[in-house]
Formats: sequence, C-alpha cells, structure tokens
Amino acid sequence: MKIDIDAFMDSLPIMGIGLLGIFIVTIVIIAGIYILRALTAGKSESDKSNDEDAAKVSEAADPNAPKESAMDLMEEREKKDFLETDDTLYISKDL
Amino acid sequence: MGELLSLFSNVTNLDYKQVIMWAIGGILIYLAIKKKMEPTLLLPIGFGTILVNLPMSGAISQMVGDILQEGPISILFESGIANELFPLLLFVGIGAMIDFGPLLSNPKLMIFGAAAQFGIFFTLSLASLFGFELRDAASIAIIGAADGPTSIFVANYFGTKYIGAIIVAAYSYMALVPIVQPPIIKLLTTKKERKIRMEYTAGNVSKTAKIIFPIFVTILTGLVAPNAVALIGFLMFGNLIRECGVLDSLSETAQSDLANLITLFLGITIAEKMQADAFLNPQTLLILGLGLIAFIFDTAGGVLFAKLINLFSKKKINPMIGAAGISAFPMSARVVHQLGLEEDSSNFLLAHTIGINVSGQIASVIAGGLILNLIAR
Repeated sequence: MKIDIDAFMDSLPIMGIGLLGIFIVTIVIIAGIYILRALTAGKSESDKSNDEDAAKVSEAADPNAPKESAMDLMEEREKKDFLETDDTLYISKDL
Repeated sequence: MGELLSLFSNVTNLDYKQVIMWAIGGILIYLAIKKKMEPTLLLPIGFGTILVNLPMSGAISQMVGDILQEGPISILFESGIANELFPLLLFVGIGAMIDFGPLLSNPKLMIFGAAAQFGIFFTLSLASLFGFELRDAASIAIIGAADGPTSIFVANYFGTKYIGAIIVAAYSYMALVPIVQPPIIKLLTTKKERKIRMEYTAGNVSKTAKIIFPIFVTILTGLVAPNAVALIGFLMFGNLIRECGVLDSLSETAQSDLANLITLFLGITIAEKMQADAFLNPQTLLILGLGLIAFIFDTAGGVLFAKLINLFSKKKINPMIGAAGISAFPMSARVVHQLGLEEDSSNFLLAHTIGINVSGQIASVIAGGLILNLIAR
C-alpha cells in the first residue's frame, strides 16, 4: 500500500463536482415534483379511491350487469388467476 | 490400487488459499442463515465461493492443456454481469417494489438523499490516496451507494478486478446498517436533538403525478448522466409498471418472480470473482475498510446536513432523519425511526424517514451515474 498524495489531490475536483452535481439534480427533481403536484392537483388519490368505491357500490347493486367489453372480461380473469395464485411460492422480497 | 489413487489425484491440486476461500464461503453461509444477513445474496455467494475454489473446478472456465473448458458460472458471468444485464433486470423488480408516494408528498426531504451520498465521493478521494487507480477507487467508493445493483453496475462498467470484494462489502454492510448507523448518529447528535418532534402532513399525490414521476426522473437523469440512463431507466420502468394501474400482473411478476430469479443467479454468478488468487490479497481488506468508511460518511453526511439546515431554519428538524438518506431500503428508515422511539416512545419519525430513504435510492443511482460520467472508462 502506498500513499499517493497527487492522486488524492487529482480526485478532489471530482468529489466537488460530483457532490455539486447530485445536489443540483436533486433540487431540479424537487422543483419538478412541486410543479407536477401543482399541475395534477385536480384529482387526488383519495378522490380517485372515492370514485372507485362508488363504482364498486353500483357494481354490487347489479352483479349480473353485462361486462362492457372483452378487455373487462380479460381483466376479471387475470384478477381471478392472481387471487388464486399460491403466495407461498414467492420466496422473499427482501433485497 | 493405482486406479483408486488416481481417483483422488485432484486432491494434490488443492491449494491452501482455496481452503481459506472455503472458510470465507462458510462464513458467508453462516451469516446468511444464522444471522439472517442479506441471505438472498450472501448464501448463494458463499456457496458459489466454495464451488469456484475447488481444484480444477468445472464450474468456471479454465485452460485444460490447450483447450478452453468453459464453466457454467463463467458463462453466466459473461452473459449476466459482464454486460450489466442482471443488475438492470433486478432494478425492474426493485422499481416495482418501491412506492414513491411518501417522497412525492414531501419532496423537500429529498435533499437528504443527496447529502447522504457524501460517503461515496469522500471514499473516492480516500481510495485514491491509498494508491488505487481512479477507476478502481470509483468502483470501491460506490459501495457507499448502499445499493447492490448499482455497485455491481459501476464496478463492472470500470472493469475493476476487485469486483468480488466490492460486492461482498456492499451487501455485508447493507445488512449491517442496524449496527453501523446508530453509533454514528448518536455521536453526531445530542439527546435534545434526537428528541425533536416533526409534524407530518401527508400531501395529496394524484395518480397522474405518480405515473409522470418515473418518466420525468428518467428524462432528467438521462440528460445529466447519460451513462446511467439504463440504471435509472430500468428502476423507473419497474415503478411505472407498478403505478400505471393497468399492469398489475406484470408488476407482481417483477416484484416477486423476476426479482427472485435474478437474485438467485446473481449471487452464485458473482462468486466467479471470488477465486482465491483474485480475492486473497491485502487490497481486499483495504476495500472492506473503505466500504465501511463510505457507509459511515454517508450517515454522517446526512445527519450533519440536517444540523446545518437547523442553523438557518425556524422549524427544527430531527437531524437523525438525515441518516435515512442512504439507499439501504427500508432498513435505514427503520433504524432511524427506532432510535427516535428509544429517546421518546411517542416520537414517530417513520413517515419522514421512509420518504428520505426512498429518495436515497434515487440519489444513489444518480451518484453512480455522475461517477460514470466524470471518470473515463
């Protein structure tokens, strides 16, 4: 092992630019999120879930109502397959 | 009798270094099973370490006479890690697992994710001081990303010969976050600071915002650090699948089947770089030490940045939350939350720390991307 002062000094600008770069990118992302939130503030997730609840209620009221399209039927089948899948098959999500 | 002896002739090819590597493999398996330290990675790496360090192991490619005998682990390495495919595919799964909701509802906390990458850049300079070539120093520094796939991606991009030690260090320290972080946090904060309460007001985050966010981050990062666009792009692609609401089945597959399959092969494939001659050298110990320093300075960077903000802010923040900016998700968030509870059993910091921890995931990838951009391959 050798101590290389020159290499250390050469790496300092990289450290400075790297740190500055990550702060700049992060600040731009933060600003972007605020703009994004402002632009999409019309319909929050809670509003959306209320809409979904209302849809479920109307569906429950008339369970025999015909499905609107083949896509709806496929979606329903996918959900059924997913619900019937044995979760114990999945070993771990700990990454 | 001669034939019987020839059956065991390979024993004479055994080298003491290989036996040491068996012991290291055994330790990794022990840590994975007994201590539950990142078992999904350390167990396959441990077993793979034993596998590749058997004399004349057919699991790895080697010259037998004049003929190249290809081994499956070497083939897997060439087709999954040397071309950076496995870490990228794993990122699709990780992206599908992450809920950016807490981050989107309190975006300003994301700045701590940036501050907690200090250890990466500090270690880069420190590794250079200890005589590592700049590309090797960058690969070692990225251990501080506390993010396995990013470490693999960057180390492999620079083609460092220390990749085995770097991966082992990265995953080991990620598992040791509950041991490494608390003393650093306590050292840098007063009891009074650790008791600071923080109000949490959940902002409204629309589904549209959650869908646009991964696309926005991909474009932005791609413009700033084009070399890292695959890394952030695959992470955000996984997240888009999760948030779009029309690909639930794919999202579930990415989170479970895909992530598990890649992890299964990733660990044992990394073992290709755990061969005795490449691993057993003084530099490995130095890399383990530098990796620890990277984690320590990441933690310190986040905490000290929070203290700096407190100097100018009327509304004080609990400086401990800065430590959650390292990417080890969700362990770091839990560790800081737990420390808050130790000081005051009714001080719940989890809502803040989760948001910061998630932002650390993004920041670590951006840091990796910046390093790829700043240092020539």
